[in-house]
Amino acid sequence: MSWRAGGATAIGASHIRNKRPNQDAFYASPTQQSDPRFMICVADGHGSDAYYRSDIGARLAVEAFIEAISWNLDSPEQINSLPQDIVQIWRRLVKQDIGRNPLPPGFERAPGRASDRDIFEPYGSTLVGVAASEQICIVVQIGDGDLLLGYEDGTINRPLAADTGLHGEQTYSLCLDDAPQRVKYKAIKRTETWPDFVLTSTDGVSKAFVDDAAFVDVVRHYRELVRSGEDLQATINALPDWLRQVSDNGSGDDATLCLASRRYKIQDQ
Amino acid sequence: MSERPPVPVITPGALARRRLHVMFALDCSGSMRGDRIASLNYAMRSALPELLSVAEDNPEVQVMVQVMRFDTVARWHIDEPTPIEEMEWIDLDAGGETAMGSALAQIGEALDSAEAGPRQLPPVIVLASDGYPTDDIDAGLEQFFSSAAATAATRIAIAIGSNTDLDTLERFMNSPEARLKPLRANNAPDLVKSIKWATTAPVKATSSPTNAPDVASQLALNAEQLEAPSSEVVW
Repeated sequence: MSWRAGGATAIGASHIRNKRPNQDAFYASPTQQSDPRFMICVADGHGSDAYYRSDIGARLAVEAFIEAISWNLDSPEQINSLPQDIVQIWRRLVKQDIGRNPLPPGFERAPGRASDRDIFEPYGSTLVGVAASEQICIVVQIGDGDLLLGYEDGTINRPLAADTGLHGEQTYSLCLDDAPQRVKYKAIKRTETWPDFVLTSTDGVSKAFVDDAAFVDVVRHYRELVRSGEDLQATINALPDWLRQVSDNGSGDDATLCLASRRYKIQDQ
Repeated sequence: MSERPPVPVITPGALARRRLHVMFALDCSGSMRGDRIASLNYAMRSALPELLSVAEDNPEVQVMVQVMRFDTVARWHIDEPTPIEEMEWIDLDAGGETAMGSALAQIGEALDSAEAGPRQLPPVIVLASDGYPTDDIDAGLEQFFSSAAATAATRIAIAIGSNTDLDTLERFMNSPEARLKPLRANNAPDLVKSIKWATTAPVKATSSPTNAPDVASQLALNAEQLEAPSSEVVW
């Protein structure tokens, strides 16, 4: 059993107009050849002024995912600590970044607040990731974004329940005091039905579509493309333009998408 | 060699601009007669082009406007959600009592029947009043907040003059930790400034992709800049 993965990102039209950087980040591995293990993740830094380092926060979220999930793939019996691991590693990386590049004077702690949230807030980001070894597939998410699994019978599903208790554009975030409690995760053992396709994306992708059915239809189409023996690399190469089209004609937000396919027909080996 | 495109072809209609509903509930009771209703009409005439400008800065969002007026009864002044590009202001007149509860109940009902869902932006609702409700405001607020869209909305209240029911306006705003307070408009320039801010700032904040834990805090910071009165003349 082997996997191959890839991903891409496109800056949103509204970010270009407002002179903001692309505040999404992603990671996908392996991209060059198939491997029994894979990891994909996307992170979406919050967009408003209070989160003025969220592009860095998203990058650090990806780093935190890689570090935490690597350990959990090797020690799946410790899976219960995954939420705490991801948040602690992200907080450590944020503090290291602040050490190299201190927050502006007056931004260290907001008046009337006494928690470390004030130093983490500028870096606020979501995180959606999936990784698998030969024994276990782990899905994890904090905040908005999409995580879908595809199966041999053609079905597509979301393995994690939707967040509750939020209004409008609100999302849970790594920067919140109770971030570990907001991390959702699930471990799928090899003995259970095993997905053959995985897709993660930031909310700039799904919110561009007229409804969820239209988005899921596109996910189904991606699965069919990469499972039918089409060149995965050609799909990955075409992703940035596709994401730009989605953002420009829909959400206006940064749009980032990663996918992984199992038993990919390896044309380059 | 396959002719098949390497990425899914996006079919016409699969992508769509997100809609942002901006709803006004405007007090047209007898106490608004004269300078106040004239200033409110002037403020709306001035604010709509600014709202259009904000909308043009965010072309991925379609801003739709609806206006409810309330005096002895509450009724729609502009009843169909109208694209901001097509909005023409028709002056309001004043007279009668203050059916604010009925106005909020009808807005809640309209939000319930509007297109909703996670991809739609939370609406912006602006309530401007100079007095105390004369109908059942408790029932009105209850029906208003029974709408999920009303609960998710950015709600801004403007207190016109000094004899306003601030408690009711704060209940309408229901801002977490009371970070957002009703705007105070004690004279004509303040009212114009408040209406312009209430129309454009939340729309700007809501229509730019933010996905943050707390969108209201940025608005609250922004609103503080409005606090200094712009004129010594007071209603």
